[in-house]
Amino acid sequence: MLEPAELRNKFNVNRPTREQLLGYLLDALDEHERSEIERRLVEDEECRVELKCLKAALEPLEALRDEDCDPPFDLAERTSALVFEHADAVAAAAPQLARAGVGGPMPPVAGRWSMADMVVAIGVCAVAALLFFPVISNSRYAAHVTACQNNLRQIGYAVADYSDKVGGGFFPGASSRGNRAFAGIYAPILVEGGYLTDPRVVICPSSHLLQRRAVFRLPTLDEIDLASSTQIVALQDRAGGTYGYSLGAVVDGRYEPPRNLGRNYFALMSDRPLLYGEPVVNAPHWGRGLNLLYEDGHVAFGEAQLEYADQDDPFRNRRGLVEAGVDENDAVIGQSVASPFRFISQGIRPAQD
Amino acid sequence: MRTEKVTVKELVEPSGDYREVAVLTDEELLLEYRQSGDRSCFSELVQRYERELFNYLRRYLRDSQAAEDVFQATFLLIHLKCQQFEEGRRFRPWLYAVATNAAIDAQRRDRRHRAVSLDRMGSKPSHEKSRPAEMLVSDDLDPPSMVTRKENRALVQAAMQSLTEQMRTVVHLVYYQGLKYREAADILNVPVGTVKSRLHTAIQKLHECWNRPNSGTSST
Repeated sequence: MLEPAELRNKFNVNRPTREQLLGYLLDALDEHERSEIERRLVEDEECRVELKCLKAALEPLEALRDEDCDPPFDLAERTSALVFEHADAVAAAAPQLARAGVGGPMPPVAGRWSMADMVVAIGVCAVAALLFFPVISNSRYAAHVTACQNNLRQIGYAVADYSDKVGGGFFPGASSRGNRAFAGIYAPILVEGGYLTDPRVVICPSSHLLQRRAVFRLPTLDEIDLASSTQIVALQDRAGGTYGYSLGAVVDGRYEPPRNLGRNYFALMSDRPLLYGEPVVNAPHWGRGLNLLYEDGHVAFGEAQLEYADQDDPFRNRRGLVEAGVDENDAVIGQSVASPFRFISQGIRPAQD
Repeated sequence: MRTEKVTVKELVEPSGDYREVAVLTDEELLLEYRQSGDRSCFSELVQRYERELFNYLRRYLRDSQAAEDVFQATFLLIHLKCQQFEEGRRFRPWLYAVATNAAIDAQRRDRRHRAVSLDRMGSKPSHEKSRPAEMLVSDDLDPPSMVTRKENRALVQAAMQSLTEQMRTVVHLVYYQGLKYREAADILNVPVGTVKSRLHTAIQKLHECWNRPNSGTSST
C-alpha cells in the first residue's frame, strides 16, 4: 500500500507549479508558500529534479549580475541636493504653500493662488523637468566634452611652447626616478615655467574635482622635491589634475620624456585612464569615452580613438604595462601618479636626471 | 534595507530621546520626512538605495547616464509624492514602482528624442562594445576567459532584449532585485499570477534563446 506522500506524488496532487518552483529558487514566495514547497521537495524526487533544471536554466542570467558597479561619485549627495533645491524653490515661490504644509487644503482666496493651483503648477513643472531630462543631460554631457577638449588644447599649446623654448624638442615629462618620477609632473613644470597661466585647466569639467576647482591648488616643484616618502604620493596624485599624461619612452636603452615629433597619431595626454579592473562606468564623461590630445595638438573623443587602438594601445606599452613606452613610437599615458618605471631594474640610464 | 553606514545625525523623539537616523526603517524615515521635513531622513533614504537602485536602473536602461538621471528623477518624485505613501505599506516596492515607471517614461522619451536628433553623440549601450573606454578596462581573468565572459554577457543581453518590456521588467525586479512576487505585482499593478506567468515565460524564452545551436551560451 502506498504512503500518503507517495500517493500525492503519483497523482500529482498539490505538486508545485514551475512558477512556484521558480519563485522558491528566487526567494520570491511568501512564507507559507515557501514552507509548503520545502515540504514537497523533501517528499518528491521529481520536484527536486525540476528545481535543478530550473536552476540550470537561470544560470546564464548571472552574466549580467557581475556588471554591478559603484554608482557615480556623490550620486546620493547630488540627488538630495537637487531635491532640496527644488523644495526650496517651491517654498520660495509659494510662501502660502509652505505655510500650509504639505497636508491640508487651503481655502481659495480671491485674486491669489489656491493650494490646488499650486499643486497643479508644481506637477506641471515636475513633468516638464522629467520630460526634458534626456535633452538636458545630453546637452550637459556634450558641453562637458567640449569644455574638456578646450582644456586639453590649452595644455597642448603650453607643452608645445615648452618643447620649443626650453625642452629642446622634448615635452615636459617625468624623471626616471626620484620624487619627479610621475606622469602628472608636467602640470607644475608648465605652471612654474609660465606656460600655463590657469592651473585649473588640468581639471576636466566632468570630474567630481570640479566642485573643488575654486580651491584647487597644484603642488609646487619645491613641495614635490622636498616631500617625504609619506607625503609624495598624495602630491603626485594631485599634481596632474584629472588628466593622464605620457610616461615617455625608452629609446636606445635610455629613458626619455615624450619627444615633440608633431605626430598626428601619437597620443600625448587624455582624460583620466582607468585602472586595472576599474569598471567602465567610472570612465570620464559618464563612462562613454574620453578625450585624447595628440602630439600635433589636435584633440579627439570617442570613436576617433578606435582607429589607432588596434595598432597601439595608448594606455599600455607593448608589454601590456602602464610604464614608459618600449620605443619612441609606443605611446603610454598614465594617471598623474603613474611612474615611468614601476621597478627600477632594467638598467636604464636616465637621459635627463 | 539597511545600510551599515551609521550617520551622526540624530532625531529627537517627543519623549526627548535621541534616535539615530540609521536605525530607522525605510518606512519610518519617509514618514518622519513627510511629517517633520527632516532632510537627514530623506538623505539617508537616498544613501541606502544609491547603489542598489542605480544598478537596477543601469541594467534596465543599459546606459549609465540615463540611469543617473532617472535615479535623480525617482527621488524627486518620491519627494513630490510622499503624501501618497500609505502607512503600513513597504517603502522598497513603492520606490521600485516609481523608479520603474520613471525608467519606462525615460525610455519612451529617449526613443522619441533619438528619432528626431541627428547630432546626438554615441551613447547607447548597444555601442558599448565599441566604446574606447571599455577597451581600457582590464580584468584579472586571462584573455580567453575575458572574451568568453564578454560574449556570454552580450548574448544574455541580446536574449533579454528579445523579451517584451513587461517580461523584462519582471526579470529585473524578481531575479536581479530579489523582490517577492507579491511586491513585483504591487509595483506593476498586476495580479501575482500575472507576475508568476510572465517570469516563467521569460525564463522559458531566455532558455530557448541561449540554447539555440548558434548561441554560445549554454545553461547547463
